[in-house]
Formats: sequence, C-alpha cells, structure tokens
Amino acid sequence: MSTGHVLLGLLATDARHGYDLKRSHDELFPSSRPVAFGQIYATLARLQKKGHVEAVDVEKTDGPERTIYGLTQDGRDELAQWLESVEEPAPFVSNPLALKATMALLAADADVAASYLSRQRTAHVKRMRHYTAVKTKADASLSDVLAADFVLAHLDADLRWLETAIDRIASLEQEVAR
Amino acid sequence: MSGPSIETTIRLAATGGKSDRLRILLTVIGATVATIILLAAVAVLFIGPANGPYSLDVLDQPGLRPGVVTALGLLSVPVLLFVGLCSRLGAPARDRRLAAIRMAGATPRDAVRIVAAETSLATVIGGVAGTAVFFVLKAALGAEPGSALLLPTDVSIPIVAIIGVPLVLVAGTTGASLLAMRKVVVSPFGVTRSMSTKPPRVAPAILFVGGSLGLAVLGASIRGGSEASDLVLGAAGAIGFLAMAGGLIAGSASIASGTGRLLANRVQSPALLIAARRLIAAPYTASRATTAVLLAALIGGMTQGLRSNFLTATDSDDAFYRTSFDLVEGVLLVAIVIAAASLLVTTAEAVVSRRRTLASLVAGGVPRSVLRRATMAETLVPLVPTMVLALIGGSVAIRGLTGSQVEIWDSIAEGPTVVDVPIPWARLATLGAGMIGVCMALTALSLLFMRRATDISEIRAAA
Amino acid sequence: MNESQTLAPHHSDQTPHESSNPNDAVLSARGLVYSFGRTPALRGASMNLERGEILAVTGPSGSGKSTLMLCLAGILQPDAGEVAFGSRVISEESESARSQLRRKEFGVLFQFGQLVPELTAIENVALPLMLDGVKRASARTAAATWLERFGVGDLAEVRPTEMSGGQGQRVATARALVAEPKILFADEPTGALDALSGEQVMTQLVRVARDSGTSVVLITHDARIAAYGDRELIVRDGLIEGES
Ligand SMILES: Nc1ncnc2c1ncn2[C@@H]1O[C@H](COP(=O)(O)OP(=O)(O)OP(=O)(O)O)[C@@H](O)[C@H]1O
Ligand SMILES: [Mg+2]
Repeated sequence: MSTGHVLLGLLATDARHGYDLKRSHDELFPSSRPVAFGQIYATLARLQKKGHVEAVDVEKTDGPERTIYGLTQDGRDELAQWLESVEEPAPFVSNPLALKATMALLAADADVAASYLSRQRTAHVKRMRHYTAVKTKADASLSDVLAADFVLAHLDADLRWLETAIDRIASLEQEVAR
Repeated sequence: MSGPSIETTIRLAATGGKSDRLRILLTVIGATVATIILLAAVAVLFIGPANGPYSLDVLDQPGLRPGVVTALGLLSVPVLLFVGLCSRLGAPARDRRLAAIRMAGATPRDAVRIVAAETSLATVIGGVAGTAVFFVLKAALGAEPGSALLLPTDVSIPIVAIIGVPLVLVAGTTGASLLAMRKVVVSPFGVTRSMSTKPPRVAPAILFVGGSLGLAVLGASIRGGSEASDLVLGAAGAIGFLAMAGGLIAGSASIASGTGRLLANRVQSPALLIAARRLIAAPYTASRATTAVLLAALIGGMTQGLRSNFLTATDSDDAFYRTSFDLVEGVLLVAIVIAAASLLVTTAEAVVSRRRTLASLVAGGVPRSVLRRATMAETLVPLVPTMVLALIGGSVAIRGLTGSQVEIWDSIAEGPTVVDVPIPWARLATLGAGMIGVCMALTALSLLFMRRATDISEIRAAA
Repeated sequence: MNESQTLAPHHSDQTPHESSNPNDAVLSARGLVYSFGRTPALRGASMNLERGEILAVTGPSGSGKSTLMLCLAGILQPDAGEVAFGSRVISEESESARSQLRRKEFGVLFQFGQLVPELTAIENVALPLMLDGVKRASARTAAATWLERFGVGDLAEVRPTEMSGGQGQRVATARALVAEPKILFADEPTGALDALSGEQVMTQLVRVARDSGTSVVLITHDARIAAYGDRELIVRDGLIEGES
C-alpha cells in the first residue's frame, strides 16, 4: 500500500486536503503516472478507517467544501515503521524492455537485433538527455533533481545492461566462430 | 647484509622505469669519475725516486705532492655528494615500488636498505668501469719515451689500491645514500619526504657570520704572536671554515624560500611565478642541489683571498705561487663542473617527475619556453645571491684571517714597507660569472628532458 | 577593447545552438587517421562540431576517443585527414601556431593532474591570462570571478594538493574557461570523481558553457555524463560509428 504511505508522509509536516495531496504527489514524482482523485479519496477513507488519519477541519471555498486531514499518533507510528523497513530489492524481470531485448538478441537475425538495440539505445539516450536538462535548469528544485536522478539511474542501468548484453553476444559468437 | 637478497635488489632496480634507469646510470657515472680521481691520487702518492721527471711543477717537486693528493681527495667529495643525491631522486616508479614492498611486509629499514644496496651495486659497476678507463688512459697517455712526462703515467699502481679504491667508494656512496634517505619516510602508502617548509633563518646566519668573525679573531691572535700550538690553531681554523660552510648550506634553503616569497606576490611573468611558488613549496630541493656548488664557491672565494694575499706579499717575478694558484684554480674548476652536475640531476628530476602536469600544461597551450624558463629560474634565482654571498664571504673571511696588509721588501727604498692587499674584485667577479655560466649551462642541459616529459602520452600514464 | 568586459564571464540572452546548419560548424574533421606506432587509433574519422553545441563522444575503451580529441584540439597532428577551425586548417599549422591557438581559442580539461600543484587556485586560473600578457592584478580579479562561478571562490588561496578531487576539477574547469575559449575539450573530466562531485562539476560546466556560447567536446564512457550533451557521437575502432 505505497500510496497510503506516501500520503502519510505528505501529511507528516502539515494537515492538508485531498486536492493539495494530489498536487504534491504529482510534483514530487513527476515521472510516475499522476494519481487519480478517486484513488486519493479512497486511500484517505481507508487510512481514516484504520485510524491513521483524521479529519481536522473543513475548508470552505467558493466551490465544494474540502476536508482537511491530519496524521494521528497511529498514523505516525505506521509511517515510522514503514520508513524503517527495507524494500524487497525487486528485479524488474517483467520489464518489457528486458523481455524484448532478450528475445531480439536470442531469436532475431543479428542485423535486426543490432538495429533494434541501437534504436533502443538512442531512445534511452534521448530520454536521459531530457531528464538531465530538467535537472540542470537554474530553477530546478531539489525534488525535481531527485526525481530526475532516479529516472536517470534506472535508464542508465538499462543502457548498461543493453551494452553488456550486446558485448556478451558478440564474444559468444566469436567463441563459436573459433 | 640481512634483508632482501642481492638478486632481489637487482631485479627491483632493473624493473624500474625511465627515471630509475637514469638514476642508476648517473650513479654509475659518478662512481666511475670518482674511481678515476682516486686512482689518480694514488698514482701521485706512489711517485717514487725512479719515476719522472714531470713537466708539471707540482708533480715534480716532492714537497708539493701531498697538496695534489689532498686536492684530488677533496675533489671526490662533490662526486660523492652527487651520487648521494642521485639515490634520493624521487623517481615515482621507485617510490611506488618501495611502498608496495612495505605493503608486502618489509620494514622501513628494508626499504632504505634496498635503496642503499642499489647505490652500492651501481658503485661497484662504476668502480670496475673507472678502473678500466683509468688504466686505458694511463697506457694511452704514457707512450712518449724521451721527453718529460706530463702525468705520472709511469707509476705502477699497487694491487691494494686497485681493490681498495672501489671498496672505499662503495662505503662512501652507500653512506651518502643512507644520509640522503634519512629524511625520507617509506610507508606502505607512499614515500614522503619529511621536511619543515619553514627553513631556519637565524641560526645559519649566526654560523656564517660567526665563522668568519672567528677566522678574523684567529688571524689577529696569530699576528699578535699567539703561543698556541699549530694543532690548536689549525683546529680553530677548521672549525671557523666548517661553521661558515654549514651556515651557508643550511641558510641556502632559507634564501631559496625568501627569494620565492619576494617574487611570488610581485612578478608579472608566469614563468617566474611558477618558479617562485616552487621555491616556497620545496626550499630544500633547491638548496640540496646547490650544496656542492656553494661549497665550491666558498672555497673559490677563499682561494682568491689567499691568492691576492700571497701574490701581494711575494716578488712578482717569482712565478711559483702564480702557477700553483693557477693549478689550484684548475682543480677548482673541475670541482665546480662536478658540483654543477648535481644541479643537472635535480633539475632533470624536477622535470621528469612532474611530466603529467607539464604535459597537460603544454596541451593547454602553455609554450614550452615558459616551462623551460620557469625551471631555469627555479634553480638559478636562489643560487645567484647565495653564490655571491659565498664568494664574498669566503674572500672576506680569508682577509680577516690573513690581515688586510702585508709587509714587503721595497726595492727602491731598500727596506720593508707595508702595503694593502687588494680585494680581488675582478677575479671574484670572473669566478662568479664563470660559475653562474657553468650552472646555467648544466641546468639548461637538463631541459633536454622537457620535450619527452611534455609528450602528450604522459597524460595517459597514471601519475 | 575593454578588458573587464572580455575577462568577466558574460551572460548572453540569446540561446546558443539555434541553428543546426552544417555550415555553422566551428570545428570539423575529415578522414582523420592516426596511429601510435603500429597501433591504429583513428582510421578515418569525420565529424562536425556546431557553434554552442555540447557534443558528447562515447565508445568503448581503446576505441580512439582521446586520440580524436587530441587531434581535434591540435595537440596531435593526424597522419592523414584534416581538422578545420573556421577557415583555418589547423592540422597543417606549426606546433607553435597550434599552441597559441589552444591557449587563446581552446580550453582543455583532463581527468586530473593538470593544475600546477605549487600554485594557489587563483594563480592556476590566472595563469592562462598572464600568459597572454594580462597584468597580474586584472588576471587575478578575473580568476576570482571564475572561481566564484564554479562555487570554489573560497578556495582562492588554497593549493590543489589540499583540495578534494571535485574541488580540483572545478578549479581546472575554471582555468580551462577563463580565457573565454570558443571550444572546450574535456576528456573524462569527471572520471576520477564520485557520482555527486561529477554531477556538480558537469552541471556548472554546462551552465557556464551555455551562458557563454562555448562549444564543448565531452569525452566520456558514462551515459549519464553523455546525457549532458546535445548530441552524442559513438566511436568504435577508430571510426565514428553512430550518432544519437
Ligand atoms: N601513447 C600511446 N602509445 C601507444 N598506443 C596508444 C597510445 N595512446 C593510445 N594508444 C592506443 O590507441 C588506441 C586508442 O586509444 P585512445 O586513448 O584514443 O582510446 P580511448 O577511446 O580514449 O580509450 P579510454 O576510454 O580507455 O580512454 C588504443 O588501442 C590505445 O592502445
Ligand atoms: Mg581516453
């Protein structure tokens, strides 16, 4: 239930309403899919039922009323526990890139594989350039930089894996040819 | 000798890089020259009644031969200093190897022993080479029957000396190398040269001035009819000389860093700026190189003082003293050249060990001429004032010792008369200019390494 | 010419790298061949560097990246082929002409070990200006500005031996840019640094290069560093194999 924990984390500093939480979430994780409002409210409801958050106020604006949620002691404990526990180091074996590249290297014609891999590499490089540009902007905030770093590190890992894979196949072919 | 075997040492020395080979080569050359000089001294020592006659006065007159032997013996001192300096050359490859040996469990003493053993071996090779060269020269120069010989090529050298000279040299160079490595600490992580960057100022000045004042007091008391024995007077004179020499050498580091400081914050020239900063950062590097040259300058200054005194005091028609002094000056000249060879080594090392930086500077468009000028300035800028001080100090000290006036026989007045001994400014200036010229020439020679050291491939090599 | 204007880093509003017209190339190489003895390092490499462009050059170890850069910068003279800087064919010029060119128009940055260890940071940065005859005082003023730009202004009087690798590279970058070169050549400038120091050096380098319209040839085998470039050339076996 990572969205729940992220909301707990966002509420740790300030009490906020759902719309605010969605905005902060999307700002902090620009590279992941934006969360839907529905999901925010469903999650908040679940957290409230568990006693991790509570409604502390209602904000009256021109539009609809907005409930402001705050963290309970239980919620704080839950957040602390989550932050202390280690994430399972999950290998992205089901990543479509890994699947496709593996099949290209193993099953396709050498030229086809090479051309696919080189286009894949170009796509990765373009993406990395984009995120690097984002984080080197003079007005980049710390969360922008952190988010960009995260994506870059993963794209870089993909690239390295790709390049090593190409080299491995090449050296295998050399051995076979010998 | 315990510790690493000879075989290990040879292998360790032979697997080294460019600068290792350079160092060994220079050590061998130094030992060769020293062997020839010492064997020549032995030849003079063993001139018997059956030998000669010689066209050189100092060889022909038995009374003068001990002087020649002493002069030749003294001549080997700068050679030994040179060899000791060679063993200290901070060849980075050797330093890394020594550190690796320490990492592998050798003690600091083992590491120093390897360095000393390398020097000993190189000296043995040089000893053998020198002996061979000596006998070839002896045979080549001696084949002139009938006329008087120039050199004692007819003296047969006793076998004891042939074996003894290289042995004495090995002891000498090994000692010099141990002495030179004294401040060098070999740790498993590298080789550091422990030195305070702030060299002493006051103590050397006191020694230098005190030594020359002491000589003046000694001179005055001798002229005043001192009762003290010759031994005491001789010892006092020697102490005065040693104090001056010690003060000069110890003070040269301070003069180096002083000139560096003086220049660093003023100069407009990048070459001088680099030179000045290097003098401040490592004043002892500069002073170590110049030790032998400064000693030669001090002795040179004293010789000029003596010469002026003797030639004023004796009949100008009598050529004996003049030729003798000319000969002494000839020996001094050889000593100066040998001493300046230390400059060559140190400067070459300064270039070779910094090749990565130099190469990237050249890559960045710094003209090699700027780097050459910086290297020259680094050696010569502190040397010139120190040398002037040594020359003038030496001749002034002798003037103090022998007095500024002598009594001569006035042939017109038919009686003794007192005249002033002139200060030999012209000869001192000539000597100084000549020494600076020799030092410049040898420093410039080391710049031959500059092109190789700034080769772009040096950037690839690990520092 | 107003000295302070040429020395201080200038901020220009115009965005560099607007045109990708090949005639706009500041530097171009045709058919470069270079061998070290019998080892071929370049076997006919051709490329263009555009005005204001940051060009990453990547490729496997030993593929000839550094050799390419050394030829482009006029440090090595190619065995065949030519390098043109504007209308000058620098591969045919004398060593002294190329040396002057490197001092005035190019900046060069290596992995490490290029600062004079005995000079302070500010003196190291002032050195290229002093070599061009700028008076000591104004060279130091300009150097101080550049150190400030790279965030190492407080290290002005510190010597390189007392700096961290990252601090040293920032000073070295300031020195490479102080004479306002048209092109900066950098061979693995972050190769000896940890990830964060490398990122910091690159961020500042790229910002300054963009501000001043300096073109950059950036050699690296790290895709993350290459991503600082606008374009990437891939070198393999002494040839330009691809571009992305
Ligand atoms: N000074 C040299 N002497 C001999 N061969 C050299 C020299 N410099 C480079 N080479 C050879 O030239 C080829 C290209 O070297 P270069 O340094 O240009 O490669 P690179 O792509 O920069 O490699 P790396 O990523 O390892 O720095 C290699 O085969 C290398 O061995
Ligand atoms: Mg390289």
